[in-house]
Amino acid sequence: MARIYEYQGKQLLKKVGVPIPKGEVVSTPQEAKKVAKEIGKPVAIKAQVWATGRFKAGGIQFVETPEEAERAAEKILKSEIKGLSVARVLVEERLDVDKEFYIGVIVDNSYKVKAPVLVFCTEGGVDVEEVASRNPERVAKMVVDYLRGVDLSDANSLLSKVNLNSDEISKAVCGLYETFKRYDARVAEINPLVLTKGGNILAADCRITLDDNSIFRHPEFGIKVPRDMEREPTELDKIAWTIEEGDFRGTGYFAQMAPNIEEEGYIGFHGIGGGGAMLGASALINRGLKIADYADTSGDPPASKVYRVIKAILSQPVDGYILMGACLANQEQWHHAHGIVKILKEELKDRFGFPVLLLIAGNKERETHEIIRNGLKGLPIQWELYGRDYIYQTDFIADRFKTMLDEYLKTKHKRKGKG
Amino acid sequence: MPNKNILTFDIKTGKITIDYSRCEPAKKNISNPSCGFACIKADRWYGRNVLKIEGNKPVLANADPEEIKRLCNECLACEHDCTEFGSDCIRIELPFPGIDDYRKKMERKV
Repeated sequence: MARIYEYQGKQLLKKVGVPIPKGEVVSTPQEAKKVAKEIGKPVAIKAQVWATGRFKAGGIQFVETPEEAERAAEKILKSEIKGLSVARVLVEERLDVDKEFYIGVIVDNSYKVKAPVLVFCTEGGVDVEEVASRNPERVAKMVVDYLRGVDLSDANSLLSKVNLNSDEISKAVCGLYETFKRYDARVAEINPLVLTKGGNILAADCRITLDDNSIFRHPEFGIKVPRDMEREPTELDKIAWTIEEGDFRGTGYFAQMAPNIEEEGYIGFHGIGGGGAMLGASALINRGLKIADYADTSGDPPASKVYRVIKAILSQPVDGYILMGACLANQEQWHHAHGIVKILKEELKDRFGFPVLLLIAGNKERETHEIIRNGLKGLPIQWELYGRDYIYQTDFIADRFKTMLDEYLKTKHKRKGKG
Repeated sequence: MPNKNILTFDIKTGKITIDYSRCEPAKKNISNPSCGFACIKADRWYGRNVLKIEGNKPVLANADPEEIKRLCNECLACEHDCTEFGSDCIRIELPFPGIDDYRKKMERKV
């Protein structure tokens, strides 16, 4: 799911009439000072990154004066919050909080619901699931009739479940639902919704994630890669997105995990199907192997898509390539075989000893292995091929690959030494 | 003037070229080549009947370019099997915009 930043989400809420604190997003300390001066009261400086727990991580600071705002902004803009660099901060009036609430709209995919669900909690700024298990009486839920929508009476009835009656909060509930619907969100949350000591209701923070498949309807967000990522896409992520864009034949997922590789030993990782791929990735990481990317080709993609995904993987400065295609029932693996053979023949014809390990099982496995075995003949690489007998031996596969990689690196060093 | 020795056609995300000057059945005009028309067999097995045999050579099974784009499932098997069992006369180009420039940039960094 594609995310938008807090400051963008707040602008959407403002458009539908949900009050938000005074503030502006800036990208320099000087601008932060200027905005703090305009606000004319203590402000909060908030890192605009896709991470929760920003306050604890040092990504939110409360300051009294414009000068302090400048210093705080400078510090945050130079820092990394949970490994994410900060390009923008939101400078916002500091709220005089009396009480905090939570409102959320979430698509419930479960068989029995299949609809948006409105959630309201009388505690805000906390994990709503934790409250629901601790004090279920503080959480109210309502399944929304999507065709009818949500009106004030629905919102009032939701609040009444937690013995609350406030037109202002009900309006915020309706506003959040309207935002959710208008922008094709999968999740929309205001957390916390603040009641100030002055009696005003304001959305102090929000999180909105959009349905990937609807991004084309919302060019206003400028989302280049509609994927659930905690960071902005890298240049290679954007290039690899063109594999998927407009081509709905299976999945050709690619995400860089280590965009700035400066040392050797990184490996290109390719999985088929999320579960097995993640198990495989964990086994590799547990052995100290460094994964450059996470790629997945499942849902029966054409061989051309597989070809391009591997091309993206091998465009990184990696010292090996591993395919963890444990088993998948919904695709014939021979299309993968043709994609794999074509790209490896093109890319690895001069890579002496480059380690390639292919675990590929499932439909048409025998034919798939035959295509790969014949297709890779004559390449100067070291390669091993495994099938259904090894789908539960992830640790063995990881050990084998580590041995192959170590061997390659040793030979590479020797060659360099001779050169 | 189109080259009579070359058949080239667009697929959904790329282009296929068949070089008849290298293709054994086309060159010799024989109906029982040693490759056994590997490209046609591959197309039947892995693809969706984009090609057919006509005049002892592989030709498009449909005259409408849009229909060819729709039919072709980009299995890449015709190229593979022609290389494996035939005379290596099929080339499939799969453009990947931006990747070459990216690689050059990376090489410069290294």
